[in-house]
Amino acid sequence: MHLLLQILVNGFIVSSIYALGAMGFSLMFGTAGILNFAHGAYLVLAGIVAWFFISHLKLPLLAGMGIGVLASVIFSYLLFFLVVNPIDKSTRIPEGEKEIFVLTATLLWSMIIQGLLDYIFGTTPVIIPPFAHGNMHLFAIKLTYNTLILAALSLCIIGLLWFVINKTRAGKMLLAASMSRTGLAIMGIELKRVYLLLWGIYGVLAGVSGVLLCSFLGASAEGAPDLTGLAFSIVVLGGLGSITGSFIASYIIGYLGTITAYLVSPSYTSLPAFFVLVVILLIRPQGLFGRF
Amino acid sequence: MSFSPSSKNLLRFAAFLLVVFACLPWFLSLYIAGVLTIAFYFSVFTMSWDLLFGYSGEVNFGPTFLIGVGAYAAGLFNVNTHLPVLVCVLLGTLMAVIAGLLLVAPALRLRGPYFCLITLVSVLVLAEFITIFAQYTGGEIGMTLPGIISTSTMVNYYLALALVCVSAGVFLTITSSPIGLILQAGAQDPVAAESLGFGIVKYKILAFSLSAFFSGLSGALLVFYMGTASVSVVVSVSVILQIIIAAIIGGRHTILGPILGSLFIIVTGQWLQYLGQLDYVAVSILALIILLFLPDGIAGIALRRR
Repeated sequence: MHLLLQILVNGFIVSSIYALGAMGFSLMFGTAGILNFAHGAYLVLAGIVAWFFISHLKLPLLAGMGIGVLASVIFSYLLFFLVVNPIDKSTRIPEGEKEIFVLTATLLWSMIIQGLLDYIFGTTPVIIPPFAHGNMHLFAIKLTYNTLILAALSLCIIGLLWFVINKTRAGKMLLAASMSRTGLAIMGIELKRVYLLLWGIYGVLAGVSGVLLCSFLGASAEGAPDLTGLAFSIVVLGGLGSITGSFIASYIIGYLGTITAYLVSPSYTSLPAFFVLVVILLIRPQGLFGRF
Repeated sequence: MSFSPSSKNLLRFAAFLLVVFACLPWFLSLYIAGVLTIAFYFSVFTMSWDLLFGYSGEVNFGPTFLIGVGAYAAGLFNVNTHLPVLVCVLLGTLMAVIAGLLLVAPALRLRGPYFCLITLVSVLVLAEFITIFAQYTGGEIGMTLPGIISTSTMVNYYLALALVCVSAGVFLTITSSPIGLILQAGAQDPVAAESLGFGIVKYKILAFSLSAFFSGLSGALLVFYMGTASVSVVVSVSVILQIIIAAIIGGRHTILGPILGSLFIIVTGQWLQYLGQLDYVAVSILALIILLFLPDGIAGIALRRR
């Protein structure tokens, strides 16, 4: 009973943080059709920059985190203006191959960010100091206040994202873009503006989830591809392009990992999630809620 | 079998390069010959990847699954049995083909990003297994192999060069034969190709097993050349990235371009080593510039000048 409760609560916390981490990736694919393989690098970038400003320059926690998010937004726009937009506009790349070009370019971008982070901040993993110290006891299980705050924040931000996308004009523009870009252009909305908005929101989402993840697990540039792989698995399991699907899929993957860690061994954490993913893809190739 | 004028041009260029590389070790230091040997094995990985991507349109995100199975199987046979090195290499190659077929038979039903993911997951699972069975595989540190192909740098150099020639020959023959055309047709419009009576999946499986055969063979030879099999050299995701990047900047859909891309990646990587930690950043920035401004890759430049 005690173990079951522990798994339930810890799985919930881990999954909520994963869910936020996968949101940006999911939004970017759903709206612009871009598989951003630098996603993990953005999470790590925001986390490490925030850590540097908090631990070395002694900035207050929230200010440092703000700078981390800012760094992620700046790099997000850099990626758009320097790489994604030129490929999109290029006449020399065949239309059908643009996807793989963007994909390769984001892989290279990821390696550039990782290399620069290693060079500037060193290779040792870092961790952002917790929001609050101390533990609380809930039905005989021990929880740190920090993880509770992180999970609550993640859920709040996901709720906010849901509100922005479904209830505001800007969000509805993004939603429309994910259904038909041509249709949106015919309605007289400039696609460039939609993209600027999208990359801005992407930068903020990746940045915020990056700093939260860094406070929860810590961050190192080396871990970036694993984070990209995790986000990719979550998004594909949920169905590419479906944000609700990604949300549910993060709980499946989060809980599977937690159950394995508690009942089998922490070193096998990622294996069952992979097997479930493979099986689901073979039975239902479009993912749980996929439209494609 | 016939070649278009542009690919004839590329073939002439390749023949010229072959003569240059065959003569090179007589003029260069042993160190450079060693770097080139690794680059040659690596270019076989890249060509195998290009056969799948450039011709049958499948983005295989798990080339190192095939390479890793070939390399580790050959290594395990070498450590645990008394078979000669050559037999171990062949057994490793066979295992790579079998593992590749087991992976691809169900996966070919999937399209686009889903095929990418399932092949990527295969690599992550392989890496996990290597770590879990560390007492046999050496885990993160790697497995030291007692066997060795040859101690002579020259023999190793020419062996690798020969492998490049053989695999390039096989790939070029396949891609310029009707099979290559059917593969391309299947990539461009699977429905139309199927309606003409071609079993696309059969041809894709053929392409995939060829890719697996040469990836596994090259992986097995590479670990015997280096003396150790480790995740960071034959399995990890960063190797996959290097393969894809080398194929794209070399010029996809050309088979010979990826050789140039691999030489570029490995040789510039070594040449820029004095930059220390920044060498990967410099190579990535260079590759990104090539990708943006020369989308047809290095081979594209050679093709245009006809």
